[in-house]
Amino acid sequence: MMRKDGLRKQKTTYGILFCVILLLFVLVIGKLTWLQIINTERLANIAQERMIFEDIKKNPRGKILDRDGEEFAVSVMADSLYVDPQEIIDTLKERKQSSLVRETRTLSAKLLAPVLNMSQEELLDLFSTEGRFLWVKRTMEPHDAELAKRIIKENKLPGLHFIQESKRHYTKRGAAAQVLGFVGTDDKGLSGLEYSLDEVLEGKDTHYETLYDAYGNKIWDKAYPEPLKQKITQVYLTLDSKMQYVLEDAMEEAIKRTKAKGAAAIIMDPYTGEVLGMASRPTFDPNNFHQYSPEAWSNKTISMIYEPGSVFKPIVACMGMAEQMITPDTIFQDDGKIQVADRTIHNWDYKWEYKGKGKIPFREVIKNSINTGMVQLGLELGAHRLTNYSKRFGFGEPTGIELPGEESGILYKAEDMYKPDVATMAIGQGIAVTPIQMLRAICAIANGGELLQPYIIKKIVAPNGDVIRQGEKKVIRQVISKDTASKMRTMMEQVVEDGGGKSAAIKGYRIAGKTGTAEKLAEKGGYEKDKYIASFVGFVPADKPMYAMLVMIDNPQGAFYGSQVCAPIFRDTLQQILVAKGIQPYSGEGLPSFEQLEQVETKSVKNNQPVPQLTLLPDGKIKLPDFKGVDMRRAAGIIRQGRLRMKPHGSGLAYKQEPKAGSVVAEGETVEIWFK
Amino acid sequence: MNRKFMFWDNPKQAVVFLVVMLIAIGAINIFSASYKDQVSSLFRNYIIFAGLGGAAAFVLQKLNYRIFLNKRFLIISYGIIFAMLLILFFAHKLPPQLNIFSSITVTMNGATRWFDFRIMRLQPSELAKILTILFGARYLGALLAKNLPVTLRNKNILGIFAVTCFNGLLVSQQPDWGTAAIIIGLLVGLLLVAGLPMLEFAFIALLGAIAVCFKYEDYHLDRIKVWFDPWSKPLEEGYQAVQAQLTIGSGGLIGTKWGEGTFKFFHLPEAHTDFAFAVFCQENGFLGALVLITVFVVLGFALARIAVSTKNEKGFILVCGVSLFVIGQAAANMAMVCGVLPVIGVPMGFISYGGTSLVVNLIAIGLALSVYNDEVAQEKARSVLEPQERRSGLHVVSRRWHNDA
Repeated sequence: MMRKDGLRKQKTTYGILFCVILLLFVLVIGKLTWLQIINTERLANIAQERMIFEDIKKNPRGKILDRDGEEFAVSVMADSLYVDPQEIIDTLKERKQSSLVRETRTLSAKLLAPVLNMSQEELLDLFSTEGRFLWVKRTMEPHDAELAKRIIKENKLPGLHFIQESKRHYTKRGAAAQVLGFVGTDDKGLSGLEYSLDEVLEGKDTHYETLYDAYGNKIWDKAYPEPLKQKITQVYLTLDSKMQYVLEDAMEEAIKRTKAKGAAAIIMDPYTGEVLGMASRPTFDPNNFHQYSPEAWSNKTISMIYEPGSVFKPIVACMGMAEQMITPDTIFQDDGKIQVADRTIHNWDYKWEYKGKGKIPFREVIKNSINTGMVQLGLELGAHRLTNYSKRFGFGEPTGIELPGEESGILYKAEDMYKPDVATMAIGQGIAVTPIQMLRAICAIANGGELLQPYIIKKIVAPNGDVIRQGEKKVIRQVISKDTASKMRTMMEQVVEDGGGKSAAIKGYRIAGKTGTAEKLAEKGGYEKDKYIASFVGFVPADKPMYAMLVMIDNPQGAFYGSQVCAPIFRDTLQQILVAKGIQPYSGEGLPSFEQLEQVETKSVKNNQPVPQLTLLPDGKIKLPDFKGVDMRRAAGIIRQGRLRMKPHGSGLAYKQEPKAGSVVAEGETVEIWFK
Repeated sequence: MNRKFMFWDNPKQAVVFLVVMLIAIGAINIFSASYKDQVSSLFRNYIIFAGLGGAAAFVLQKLNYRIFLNKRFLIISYGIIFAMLLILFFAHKLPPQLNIFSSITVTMNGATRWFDFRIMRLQPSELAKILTILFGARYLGALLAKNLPVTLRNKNILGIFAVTCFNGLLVSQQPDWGTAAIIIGLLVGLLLVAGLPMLEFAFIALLGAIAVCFKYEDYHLDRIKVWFDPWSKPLEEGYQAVQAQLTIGSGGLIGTKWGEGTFKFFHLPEAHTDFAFAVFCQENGFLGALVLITVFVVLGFALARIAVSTKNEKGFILVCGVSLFVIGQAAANMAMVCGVLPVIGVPMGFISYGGTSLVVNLIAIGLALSVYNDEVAQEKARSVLEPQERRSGLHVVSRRWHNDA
């Protein structure tokens, strides 16, 4: 039976205690108001500040690409392992927790030695040093790094940390090695473009804000679910990787065959000054540059100076024509040798019984590289004009190509030149040039007289897509008139067609060129006995050149004439390039007549694949060949040659055409071809 | 008793509804507070413990609560809990090489508070809280029923006071001063409710003060110091308090999205346990906090309604203990987290992560509901047996309701 007023006192006390609790709730609400409404902004800011720290993301070094975006050099981020030896001692606390005392240094060395491919002793030494930061292994392969990370984590090895570093890969191995150069382990460019463009290429750090937890662990994967994009600069070169390949192959072959000490070759677009290919020997693999001698690192195309020899003759000839002293038809007297002061200068094919060619026009002097004729012209020009024109052709100063280590060559001062100096300069001696200078001067002849600034950087694209540098054709000056250039081209074409450079001829193409052989300059001055530098320079097609190329071979063993050693390299290289680039032979002047061609064709039908040719008729019309059996690509190339249009049907090999073979069409007309 | 409580048909319905709501909030908050890379096992455990506790509460409210006030049951329970606390005490104090208990106990952040049963952990000190309430209900209720004065001079009262203090002492050595304070505080609260003379209360307070001085350590003072000004040492002693306040403050009025409260990433120590309220405030804002407080306060009132309408003395003390325990802890925890009280380790029922704590809270609710059911049954029985008295008594009962509400 309950009491009517039961527990009244108790309930009152309970009510009071209850109210105390309610009061606490009221205080809480008051404090929350203060924190969340009145001070929320200030507190939120402080909270942010406590979590956000600036962080740095390392970006890989910029890419170097060829003109079409083919990769020459790329960098990837690789893990580098370092050790803080002071950290490597297990703390007492850790020992207590894992309840086993261990000698961490020995353990770490033992576990990591196989993964790092280092000896235990080596690692133990490293782990026992005094410092606080020591590299163990830099830019590790991803697989090795993963393995090492796992070992470190699983065994709780202290003091071992990873940093991301950029690692350079030269994807084309040795291709254009000297142009590209290489980087050291700290990602600093040490040679070539890597050196000169180091500031542009070097991996920039991206600074960004990161959320950190209180233990200093990043939680940015939460805040930035998307990983930050890598920022990579792209450097596009004017080099064409396919041409570069052909060039490298040719150089490799040439060195093997001639056992030469060195070599250099450049292919250039004579109208723009773009360097399309550039190779130097001896060479190296930039991925492992330290395994090669420093000599291999140097780019001979810009840094080697040599006497050009006869290759210089077209330049002197241009001077003569520009000064209107000669025309290609001016008659010279060749006696096989010529006396200048105390010196006798012989022709290259001089023999005791041989008395020269007698009266010959100047074009013969160039065609057969006759020294006596050139000497006469040189003496007539005189020291001042020779040196001044040489300077105008860009000799004696660096071309200004974007590559480091360019030499300026050697040019006499006109005042210091004795008569024999003047005479020998006319045949390309007593002047020292770099291959790039020589080729550039020849390009001025090829392109109608413009001396260009050669360049190798097509464009540089910043990580944000902005083009921060654009390589452009730059005309330095008009050195000779178009007419002079054109006359010179004709003379140089004859050199290949019928003169000293025959071995450079490519059937069906018009090629202009000049050979040269010179004694090698000794480093201490004077000449090295029985050491020669053979070279060839030329361009194709002769009338409207697309490619100009220089080949120089330093001290070839055995045959040493430019025509023997270099002209074939020129021929083989350009032939491959012309085919690869789909530039069809142009059967113009000097090629077999239509009748002959038909004979050839009928003959060659039996010997497998004939290459049909358009025949240019004297009235400008075009005679169509039979396209039967030709594939579409080739047919298109042929059609393009005659500025005709092709309307293809089907695919495979041609079996029918309209208009028929042998019919005459005008430029711009359409030829239908059926393939199956 | 069986009358409308606010918009619920009866206080029991209200309690069930509010507790389910708290578990839902707790589950979401645990999920969010511990969510980093994937759904953590904490959330899974929380659901398991909530299920266990819910089942226990369901069974308990069906049972007669008196079986838990049985002397033998209490003594056996006390024996088990005391043994466990003693083992934890030794596990904490013994040097590592002699520690035979290290495999079954868990030490975290320098405190040995848990038994490790492989599949789950048990925190005996939480069980001690509920034991204190049962002790109070049994012995204080008995005195009230006999209309005897509640005084420490009574040997039963002195006995439960002594064993509770001893429990508290053991818990304080884990160390866990917050739980120890709650264990003893609960008993003192119940003694006060039962009518302990003020003089004896003063004596207990003095005893408490002496104990504090005796066990005083430097860091205790620091905790008090930083309570007044946590920003004076924001990176040392004040760290937890400052971080908690920053966490709460950055929530603003409406809070961040769920799961996006950033401070849980270790910036806030104990983000999912004692400081879960801070994460809750950050993610749900001031309005969310108000809702949570309201839920606790309404739950408190519902339990209070059950308490004051309980005619059985033991039942009354039991429900008083449960209500003070549940909302008192919640209030103390909130006050601690937002800096109204110094940082003492008090969990918030249902919201803070802690398996035992969750189960114990649900058991407490189950006991309170058992009292309610029993009281409703008694009322019904009375009305059947004595219809006369029921009719005449109706008015009186009704008036009493008005008086107390």
